[in-house]
Amino acid sequence: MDIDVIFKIAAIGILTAVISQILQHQGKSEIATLATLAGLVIALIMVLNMVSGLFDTVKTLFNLY
Amino acid sequence: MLIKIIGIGVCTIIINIVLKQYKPEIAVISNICGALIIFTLSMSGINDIIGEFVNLHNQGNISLDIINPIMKVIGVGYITEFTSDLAEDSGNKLIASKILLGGKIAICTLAFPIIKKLISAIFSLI
Repeated sequence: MDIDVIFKIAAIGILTAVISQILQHQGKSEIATLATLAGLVIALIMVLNMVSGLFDTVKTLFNLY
Repeated sequence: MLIKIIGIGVCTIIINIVLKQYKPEIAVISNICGALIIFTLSMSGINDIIGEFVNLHNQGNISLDIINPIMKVIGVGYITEFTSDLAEDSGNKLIASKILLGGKIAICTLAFPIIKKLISAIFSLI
């Protein structure tokens, strides 16, 4: 749980931006949207695990069962 | 510890601005991520505060069924505030205020036994 997670997500964002640009210039815009979607889903899954961890810790911490 | 929190906050802000131009949706996700990391870093402070509450109970003058609702209200308040600020940050103020409404109702239901106890104590004095 350190700052590298943020850098990972930033890298995902920039990579998907570059890939979708390249694909669009090649004329394959539908694959570009798919690539963007894939990047978004990967980043979302990473964050969802952390959010569920947050809610579990808050639940156990303040005994909100 | 505070320096680490400040550093992570600044990094998240910068990354958020950079990502906003290319991919606004992933910028929101990195925003959530920064907030989560700062929360987990500040967990140790919250543990000490809860320890103080338990000490109060051990000294005997505050009963447990007053401390428990207080802790629950703090937890509910924190989660509601976290999500409503997130919603407000990403631009939808309507959802933020509705989340706040739900949180207030939850806190009211949690705090009602204490209010009842308070009123009965006052009546017993009169």
